[in-house]
Amino acid sequence: MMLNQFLLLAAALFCIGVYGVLTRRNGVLVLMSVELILNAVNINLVAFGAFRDNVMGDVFAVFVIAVAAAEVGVGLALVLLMYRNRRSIDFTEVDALKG
Amino acid sequence: MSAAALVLAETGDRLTRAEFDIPENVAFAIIAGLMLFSAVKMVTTSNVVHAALYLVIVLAGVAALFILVGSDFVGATQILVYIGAIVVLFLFGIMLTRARLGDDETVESERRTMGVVVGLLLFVVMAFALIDGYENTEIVFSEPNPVAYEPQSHQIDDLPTPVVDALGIVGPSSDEVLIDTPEFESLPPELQRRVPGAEVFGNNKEIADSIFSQYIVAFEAVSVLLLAALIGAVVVARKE
Repeated sequence: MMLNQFLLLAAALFCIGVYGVLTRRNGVLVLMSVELILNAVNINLVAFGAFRDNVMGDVFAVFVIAVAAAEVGVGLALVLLMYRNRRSIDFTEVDALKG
Repeated sequence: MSAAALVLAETGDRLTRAEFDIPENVAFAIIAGLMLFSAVKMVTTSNVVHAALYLVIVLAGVAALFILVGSDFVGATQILVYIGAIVVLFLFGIMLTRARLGDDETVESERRTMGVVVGLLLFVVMAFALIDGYENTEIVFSEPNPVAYEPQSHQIDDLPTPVVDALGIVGPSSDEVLIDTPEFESLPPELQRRVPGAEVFGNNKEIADSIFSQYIVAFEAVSVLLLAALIGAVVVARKE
């Protein structure tokens, strides 16, 4: 198999994730798109690990999965807090820091 | 050329390298097509719960790709952590924030054109760099156990020299004595995989070895991070 087929698929998934982060207003959907981006990175890590025939890529992918789990936990807690305070999870309404 | 493909090529009437690759590429094409379709549907659907279900397909596809390239441990972790835990967490988040079940047009903002432009531009730049940089680079898999493909063709002579040296083999002898000896256990995993009849599948042992030796500091840091995230999530989300 070619290395590029994995890298191009991961690039496509990454860009779809970026599109989701930019266009979604619902906070939970934004977090889901971030997961898509992290998964694209994981595909790259594992593909390069298979290409170099060592386990470094796999080990890093496992670490990325652990960090992603922590990120989702904290992110959803923030979304829940926002919902409790504003009765809405629309990210475009959060502009208190706007200059 | 992978070890199995080498064996197959040597026997003449067996598969060539290109034919050996076909099933893998067909599987890759199916999985990749399904993943791209689901990913696009995930970021465009106006139904929040459907988006979570499309995310499940993408995550399962990523796990299938991991298993396809031989990283079964990462694939299993992906299924356990992502599909088992994170997606359920997302569904909890959807329910707790009382998202409208069914179509909800307010989830999409008016920045769609900008999103398409940025996404496409990013993809074109990355694709150009990747095609330029890794044009004909192939992934060559080291087969875990060539014997599984061609039981008769492997003798002690075919073993790599480090294995023969470590096991102290002089001349051809019977295969059975090699496994379950202390010498075999002391071999590094990547050499163990080459011994005929040894059932060392995947790279789980190598991953375990490197996590608990070379990357032990990172491993401990991740465990502290998970604890901090747990406490942080409880503190942020609890009622005053």
